[in-house]
Amino acid sequence: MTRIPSFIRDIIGRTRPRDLPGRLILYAGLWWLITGGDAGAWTWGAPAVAGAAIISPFPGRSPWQISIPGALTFLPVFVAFSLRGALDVARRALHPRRPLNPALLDYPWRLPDNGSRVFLANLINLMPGTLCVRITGRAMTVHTIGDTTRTLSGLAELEARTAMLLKQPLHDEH
Amino acid sequence: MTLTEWLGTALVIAGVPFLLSGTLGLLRFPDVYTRLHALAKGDNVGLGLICVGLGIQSGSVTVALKLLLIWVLMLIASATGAGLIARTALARGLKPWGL
Repeated sequence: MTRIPSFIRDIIGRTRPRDLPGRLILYAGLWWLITGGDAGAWTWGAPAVAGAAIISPFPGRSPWQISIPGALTFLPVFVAFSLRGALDVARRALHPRRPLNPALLDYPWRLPDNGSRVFLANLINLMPGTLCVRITGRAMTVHTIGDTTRTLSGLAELEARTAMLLKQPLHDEH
Repeated sequence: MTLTEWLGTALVIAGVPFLLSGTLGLLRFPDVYTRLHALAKGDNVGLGLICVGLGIQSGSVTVALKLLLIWVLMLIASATGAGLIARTALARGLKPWGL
């Protein structure tokens, strides 16, 4: 008989019965979407959904929540910044002289350390002229290729939108 | 062709130059950090436009939602992957070009 690895047993041990209904609905919905509603696919889908719900590494109670008004103001900013970022990098790639103005900036955290920092650090990789290259307890280091002042004001805006989206407070520690 | 087909085709065609410029940046930019800039930003918008275009063309809500899911999953993978490569490169002492 094969033994269950200890880390999987730990994850199953953290799963509480009241976390299951929400996960089952979410994962069943994803499976339904991926298979395009094919009834025959549930032969594999039902065990996969049940297994994923029981062996889910995500904590049952998340320290942040998605705010609906926050999401409604976040999405247009995300789309506008995405377009600006893609056009900016396309211009630099197509320009004969390939204009790049690299710099490393330390951006002190104002978001609490509960996953919302990782969200912001990943988000800025998709946004104009920014790439997160280091995460410490105090700040993130950002690699930039454009105008530094404009990049910093963009970062502050994204940080504020993230705080609204995830219902997090912003602390001034610098 | 109907209006939705035209609109869908236009969005798909609009997405292609972004993917192309991301690849051009990958080839022309001087170091790992600047190349990651080119790829992550270009693919985000390029694939986004193609998914929205195909979703509109399909005329089916479930197909459109599935394409949206694909785009969101790709965004998470792309942002996380770019961040992991960039942080590993800096932690291993790879100096950014021009600094």
